[in-house]
Amino acid sequence: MSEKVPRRLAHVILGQLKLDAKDGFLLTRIDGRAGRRELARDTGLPDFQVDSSLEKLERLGVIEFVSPGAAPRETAKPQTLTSPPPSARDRTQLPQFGSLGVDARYDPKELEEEVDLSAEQKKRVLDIFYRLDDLDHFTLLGIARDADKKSVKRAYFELASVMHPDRYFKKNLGSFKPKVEALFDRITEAHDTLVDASKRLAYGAYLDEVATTMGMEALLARAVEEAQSFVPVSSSRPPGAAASEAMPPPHRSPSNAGPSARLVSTGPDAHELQARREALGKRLLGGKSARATTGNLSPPSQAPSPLRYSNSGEAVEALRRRYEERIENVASSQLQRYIKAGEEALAKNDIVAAASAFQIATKFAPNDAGLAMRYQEVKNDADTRLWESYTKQATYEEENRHWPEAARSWQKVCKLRVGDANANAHAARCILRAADPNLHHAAEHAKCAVACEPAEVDHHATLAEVYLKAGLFVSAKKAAETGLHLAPNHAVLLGILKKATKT
Amino acid sequence: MEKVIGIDLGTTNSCVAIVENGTPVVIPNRGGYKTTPSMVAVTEAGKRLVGHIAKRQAITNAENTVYAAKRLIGRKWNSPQVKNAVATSSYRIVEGPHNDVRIVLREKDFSVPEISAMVLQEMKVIAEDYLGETVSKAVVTVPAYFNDNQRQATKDAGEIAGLDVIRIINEPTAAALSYGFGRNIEKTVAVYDFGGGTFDISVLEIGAHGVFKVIATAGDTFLGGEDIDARIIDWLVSGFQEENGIDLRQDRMALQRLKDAAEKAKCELSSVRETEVNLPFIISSGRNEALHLQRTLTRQTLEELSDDLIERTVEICKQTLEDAKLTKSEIEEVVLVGGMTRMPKVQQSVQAFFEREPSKGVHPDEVVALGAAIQGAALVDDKQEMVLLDVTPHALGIMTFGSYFEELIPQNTTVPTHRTKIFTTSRDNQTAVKILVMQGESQRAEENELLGEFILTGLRRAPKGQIEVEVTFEINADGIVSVRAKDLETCLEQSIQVTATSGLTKEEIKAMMDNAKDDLVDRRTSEEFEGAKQEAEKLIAEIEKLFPQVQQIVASSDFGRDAIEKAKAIVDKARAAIDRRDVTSVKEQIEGLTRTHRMFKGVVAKT
Ligand SMILES: Nc1ncnc2c1ncn2[C@@H]1O[C@H](COP(=O)(O)OP(=O)(O)O)[C@@H](O)[C@H]1O
Repeated sequence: MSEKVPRRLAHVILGQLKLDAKDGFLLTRIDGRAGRRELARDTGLPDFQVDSSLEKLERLGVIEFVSPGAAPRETAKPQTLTSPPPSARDRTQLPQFGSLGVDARYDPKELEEEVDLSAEQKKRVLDIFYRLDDLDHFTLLGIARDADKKSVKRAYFELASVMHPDRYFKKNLGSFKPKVEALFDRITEAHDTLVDASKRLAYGAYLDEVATTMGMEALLARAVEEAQSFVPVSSSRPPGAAASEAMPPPHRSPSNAGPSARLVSTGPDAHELQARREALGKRLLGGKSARATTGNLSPPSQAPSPLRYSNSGEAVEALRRRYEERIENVASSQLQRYIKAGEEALAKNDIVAAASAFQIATKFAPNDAGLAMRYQEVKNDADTRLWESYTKQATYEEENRHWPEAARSWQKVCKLRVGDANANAHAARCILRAADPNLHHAAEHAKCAVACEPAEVDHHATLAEVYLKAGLFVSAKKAAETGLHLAPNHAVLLGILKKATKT
Repeated sequence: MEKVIGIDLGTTNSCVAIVENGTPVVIPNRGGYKTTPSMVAVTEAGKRLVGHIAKRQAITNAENTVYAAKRLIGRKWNSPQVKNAVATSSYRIVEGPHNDVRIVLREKDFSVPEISAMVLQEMKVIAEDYLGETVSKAVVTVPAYFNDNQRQATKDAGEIAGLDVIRIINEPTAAALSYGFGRNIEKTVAVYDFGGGTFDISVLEIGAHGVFKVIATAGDTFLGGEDIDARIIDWLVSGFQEENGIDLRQDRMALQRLKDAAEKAKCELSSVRETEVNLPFIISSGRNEALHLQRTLTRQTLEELSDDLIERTVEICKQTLEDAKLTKSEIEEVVLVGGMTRMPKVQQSVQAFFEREPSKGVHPDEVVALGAAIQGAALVDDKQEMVLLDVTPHALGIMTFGSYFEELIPQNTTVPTHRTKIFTTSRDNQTAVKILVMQGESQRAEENELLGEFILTGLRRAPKGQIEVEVTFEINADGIVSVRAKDLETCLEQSIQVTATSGLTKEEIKAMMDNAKDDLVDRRTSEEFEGAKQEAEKLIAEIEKLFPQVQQIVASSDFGRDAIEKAKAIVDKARAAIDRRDVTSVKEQIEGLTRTHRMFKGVVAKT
């Protein structure tokens, strides 16, 4: 019987189910065909991480395990996302998003308003209303990402039958009225986007972009983590260090790298590890159990048996050399493995995965200049990819007037390319637009834009505007004046100067 | 719980219904008829007559009998439709004080809503007689294609009649409600509504949970059975003129008799192949003898006379499906509504177009009122399992610099909804912007209906394009439109609630638009857009120049074909973005175009 593979049950926006970025990234690669091993390879995540993520996703009802090639199930809704069956639902009740539940985002005072809604209804309206920005269209409608048009419509109709303001006709809804209308507006937007093929495509591309950037970040973060956790062999290791302490981390064993084995294979289980540890210990301590170890594990060393050494000092020294040799062996096979993984990822155009693999590889061979260069090259490409991705994301968000999100994305773009004047200017302006702007950040970005392109008068204007808004009139004046040196008639700058001087 | 009646206020006939114990029923009038003529008359003695009594005396009192007032409701005096009605009506239509329309009955002026109110009141009385209690709430239907002014005027009529019109709904929608009510079906339905004065087509989705979602709606408020009657009248009049040299149109009484005869003939021809139009003593010859009109009208002649009108309805159906991105095969049911759909030729044309036999089960004269009653009950009764998701029949937007109409809420958008767009100042040092709120589908602002205007002042002096103004349109569940403009720099804002009936003439509107020119906003992106457009177009031209060469070189590889497909898609996308004047998207495409161009050059250079 072939191993079961994970399959997605519903689209869940990353982060919403308290997933971390790794879980989220893994989720983007689950396609109902790839098994654990393929997923580990595709994501570059260590097996244990893949396993624990899969387990978590299954527990949350986001995925299920099926035999590979099983017929796709139509819009199966996981338990956590479905609302109660229509028959059971009180028709005047708003739907529940099981996945929301946890913490209330509204001021409890809002529940006290006297309106023609039950406390439960009020809670639901507020719960959904304050999360509208975090819910993607699929989650909002409670459908799978690949749900067909009919399912989209059904889901929408079901929600509309309780969320349409006409359900509360002539009722006193107070401040809840615009909220109910906003809810309906949003589910309608979700429906209209998802039933229109071209709009759905554009929206899907945006979601993918979000998922990719999150995944990429997770991958890069993991590369750093893994590289740090691996302690490369160093000759300065004090002799006589306890053998058990010096065990290489329980990563994959090269012994599994048989011709058919995956690059990232299932690691040795606890029993096996224990056995190996004991065997190694015995050998290091001069036991006779060398035969007990698997042939592959201990390098076919020509070194003489420790028993032949005449004094203990010599024996210990030999043991140490043996041990280091072993570590080196492991290291070099790890090195090969990561380089291979990097090249393979590169061939698949998964530049970020490649970069992370090469980064780890460099830790195994810190002095390999060629490898370091290769890593730098790929890393640059990966950054470009990430930069592109964030730029697209930011542009979509800005276009759709989601200022805080756009600001955040532009800021990420800036981080990747400190010298991106355009991104800095956009970031500054989007921050200004956001409801509760962090003017300090806006100023940083505006300054950055000015520093990068000092001849661009609009950057000076942006900076001056930020200062003005922050009430820093002297700085605003200064910035405006600097800009006016470039363009003496710049009306915006003149206006700001006037305002700044007046106050 | 208070009872809500549903009223189909028709051009020729009206009908009232109510939901009783969960079942919608039509309420018959005192004469036992389920429909009542939408006619109003004032007798010599000054007595008001409504309905059948008014109809019966119409010929002898033509000048003081109003029919088809619905064609005039919410219209401006100098609209072509009113001009047309003035020329063809037997009653006197004069100009009112606000460029509106007044009807003169026995020396007294009545506004159109006042006339319609008399019909509504009659329907109210019919319901009260039947129920034995007073009724004060109603849902009234209007043609889907009515604009806000016409809807508002209909609401006013209700108020004059002492009715709280809790909702105005569209006739075809009402028909669909009645068709789908209690059936528990999931279907996409087209409602073809051809009545006395208007033609409407609506496409709805009927889904689970009693949800009715309007997908698209369109029509023509001046295309109906009366236009076919007019063709018959023309045919009779010109025949009579040829024979006797007398123009029957000069005589109001003759005209009224012709009207009746034409309609009667038309209706008869729905069941027989030919009919006799016989009008003895139609007019005096001037030599002290009366002339008679007598002609045979065949179904075939009628069909020839009305062919282009029926064809127009089919055209509108086609356009509606296209706009809704629907194919004929996706329409699972066609419902016929309106008296005109009894005409065999109409049925044939509809069947031929949709390639499906229209549904039989509904009564074309009653469905609309039944649907209105159903909606009324659904609104006030929590237990009713029905909700109607309606759409805006017309696009809403504002006028921008250069007299363009910039749409904010597209036609057929589900309400309630809100949309926002950012505009910029259109000239240097502009300190105020005028927001002209309009309704319509034309790109040229002056061709649309003006709904209202307001001014946002206090903008900072700056070069044009620098100051950004955010405009938000909102339509709430009751169909009320409000518009807000906000200066993004100072966060100052201005707003209005659009209450329609601006009562302005085309000239006044034109003058207003001209005056406002200096204070208009502009699409935000113009300069930026032009730059991007030029760049994109240059790249497209160069890519296209390389196309044949590249195609030849890479045609053999899968990868190459794929790349060519992708390049084509990018070019198409860029073109579409240019057409939409979507600057962000054009800029995005420039990236792709640049890459494609570089790749193409590389391919060509290598060989
Ligand atoms: N049997 C018939 N054959 C053809 N036309 C008919 C027939 N019965 C009614 N009509 C026409 O239908 C129109 C009235 O339809 P109706 O649905 O009552 O319109 P409205 O709702 O606009 O008053 C009139 O033009 C009338 O002449």
